[in-house]
Amino acid sequence: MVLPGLRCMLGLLLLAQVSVANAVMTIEIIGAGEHQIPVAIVPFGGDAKLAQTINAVVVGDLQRSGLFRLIDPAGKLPHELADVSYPDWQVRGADALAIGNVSVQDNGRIDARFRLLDVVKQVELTGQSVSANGDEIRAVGHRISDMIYEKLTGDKGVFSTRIAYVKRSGEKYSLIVADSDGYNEQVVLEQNEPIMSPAWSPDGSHLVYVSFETGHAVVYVQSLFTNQRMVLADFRGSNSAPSWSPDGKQLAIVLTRDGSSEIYLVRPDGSGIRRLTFINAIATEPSFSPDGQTLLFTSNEGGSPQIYSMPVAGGPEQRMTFGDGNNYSPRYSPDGKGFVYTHLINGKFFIATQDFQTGQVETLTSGGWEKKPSFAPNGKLILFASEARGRGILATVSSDGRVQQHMFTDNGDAREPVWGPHQ
Amino acid sequence: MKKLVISIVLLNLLAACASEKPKEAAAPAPVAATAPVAAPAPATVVAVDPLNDPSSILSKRSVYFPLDVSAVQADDKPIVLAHAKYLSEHQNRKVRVEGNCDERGSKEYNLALGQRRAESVKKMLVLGGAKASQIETVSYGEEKPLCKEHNESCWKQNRRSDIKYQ
Amino acid sequence: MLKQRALLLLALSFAIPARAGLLEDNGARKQIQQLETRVLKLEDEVSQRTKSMLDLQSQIDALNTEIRNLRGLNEETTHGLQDAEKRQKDFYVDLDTRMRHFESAEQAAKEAASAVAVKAPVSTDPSDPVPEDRAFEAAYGMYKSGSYVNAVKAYQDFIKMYSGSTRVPDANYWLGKSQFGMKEYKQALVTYQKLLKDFPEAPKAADAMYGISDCLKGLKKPIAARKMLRQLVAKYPASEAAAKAKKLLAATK
Repeated sequence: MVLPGLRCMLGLLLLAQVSVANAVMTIEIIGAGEHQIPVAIVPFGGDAKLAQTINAVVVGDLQRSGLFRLIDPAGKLPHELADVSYPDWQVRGADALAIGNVSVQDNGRIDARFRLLDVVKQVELTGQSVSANGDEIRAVGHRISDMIYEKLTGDKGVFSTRIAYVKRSGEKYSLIVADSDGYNEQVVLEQNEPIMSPAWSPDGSHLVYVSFETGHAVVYVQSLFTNQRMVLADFRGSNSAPSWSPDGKQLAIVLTRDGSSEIYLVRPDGSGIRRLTFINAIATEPSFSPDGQTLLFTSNEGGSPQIYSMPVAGGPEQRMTFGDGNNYSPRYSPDGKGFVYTHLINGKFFIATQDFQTGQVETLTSGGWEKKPSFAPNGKLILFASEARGRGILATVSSDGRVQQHMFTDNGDAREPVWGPHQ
Repeated sequence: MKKLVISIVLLNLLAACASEKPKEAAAPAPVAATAPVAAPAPATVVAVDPLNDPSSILSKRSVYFPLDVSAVQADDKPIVLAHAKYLSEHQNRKVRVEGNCDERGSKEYNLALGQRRAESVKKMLVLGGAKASQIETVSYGEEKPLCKEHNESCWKQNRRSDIKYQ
Repeated sequence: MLKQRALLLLALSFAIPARAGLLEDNGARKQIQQLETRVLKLEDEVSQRTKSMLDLQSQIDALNTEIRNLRGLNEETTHGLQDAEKRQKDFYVDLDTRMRHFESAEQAAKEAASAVAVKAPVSTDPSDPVPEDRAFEAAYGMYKSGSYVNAVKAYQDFIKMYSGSTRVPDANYWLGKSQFGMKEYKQALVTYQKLLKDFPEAPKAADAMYGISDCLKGLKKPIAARKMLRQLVAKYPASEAAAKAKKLLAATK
């Protein structure tokens, strides 16, 4: 892990040209993980301003995950391995220690080198160098956070991934792509008609979404590199709820061209449309299983909105949710062992998960206007839309329900968030 | 002989109705008095388009639904049928039926539900005599609420299909 | 609809003047009236038909809703049934497992009784609860079948092997009973006393005191035995052993 993928860099560059809103994110963290790893992050040596930003990003990332307890370096500021005295850190109660340097190269690129040390065993866990363009200092921080997270928890970090969501400010709707912490907002589309249901292509290169700009719901696919877009589906009635298959070769969408809301499969160029469901009621919000074989979706064929499952190859649907209340918006977990969805009961929306094997249902949030959950690519966090202080906000909850965070954008209502793939 | 004359006058008068001009054709009041068959005619022969008459049922353009229901309710049937009649009599007119929902449910589910609400109004308009080609349906789901608060008095205004003349 | 009628009459107005000269006044008028009647009838039929179609449509809507609700109910019921079946299977497996424990214990006891020297089946893994239960039940089987010597050995092994087990107090009690069965009153007394000392809260504590009283009787110390019974009544008044003790005290006054 030294250089980011060329394509990713290109994407970031092009996106940056589209528009960069200098939005201020306010983040509130609620709760804490069961076993927090005590870790000390020493502000890097070298360029002080860059070092400060990296430190803020890394500390923020690790804190938000709920899995770490940040230990104050309290005056000890080693930058090289030779300067580290392990007992200093054992006394402070740190299990791990991150040190490093950051500098600007002659060509304007940022070069950050860092080491992660195991204080208990007194060994180096990893030593890496991260290089990036001058304006990608936060990305450098996220990459360092990912490496720390992965080394200390064994799971892949998701701090370098991106999220997409829709923001409404007055009568203006914007489709936005941002870093996983909500910073670095980039406007993909802005208009005065509603935008809904953004979804990522599996390689993170495209967004597919629903726009009302022509007066009714039409599905568009837009490249995040070239910003070019095309109509994926524009039939009479509503065209909506797009979801990309894991192999990228097809999308599931919902059309009403034959009367009722049914799920169809379509190729990414809009060709080869094939009807999949014959519910004769409402079938919507399809979500592909990670192996691409099964779809989960929302349907009212049993009288109330519930989650159903069916083979992509066709076949009978099977109801997955039972009991009181309505259920919507299913999304598979990345390991395919369960799904997350919105549960509505007694006028309150909750984020809940269900395990396929045991049928065990877990409600992860305390309830309110909590909608549209999606998993982070490592399955450890769930992003969803919530409401606080009368505004639509983005929120995350750890998949065990222990840690929640609220992300406030500086203006407008945030809604319809969806977590992007690993880059 | 007089009777025959009256009949022919009546015939020509009615024939005139068929040619394009004429709603403002002279009121056939004296004829109606003697002609046994002309009773319904005067009602339609009015100068004002009933669509613009605030006292007409046609001034009502919204149909309301209970939660998670898309069938037109009995109370609102006369409104839809009045528009159906008007459309059948004015085949050059077109309408757009817009389905809306309250915010309970997912946005996508509500988009689908709004579509059903629009479709069920369309179905009734067609049964009432309108041509399917006169009607376009669209759903805004919960995206364009009239009222934005989290309460039932607001929600019931948002569970609605609007008949909009183009 | 109006337009249809107007067209009809328009056609009529052309047709009739052409033939008017040939017709009597009354004939023409009659025809027109007939046509009017037919038009009215048609209109009436159309409106009847529309009405019945609307009725049919609302019936279809109602039926569709009903079908969906029934489908939902069916889904819920099927799910409930599958759930119940699974639970029933789990219960059965659980019951079967427990029954098998019992049966194997009984088997072991029988074998133990017939054998000259039998070792209680001992597990090599003290953390495994199944062999622990099996060892206890085997020892109990020996006691029940009167094989006291083997039972004593088996309970002693059990206490040694599963020293951390929650069944150690019970094992001690039955060890005492087995020793008593061998008429080893002194040993039994020591065992019971140890039980009372180590596990004063044990459910079998009252029974152990009763057992001590029995031992004392066996050791020809009737006064001490009665004293023990009185202590038992005072200390565990609600126990079954106390009730037995009271009866005995009353009978041997």
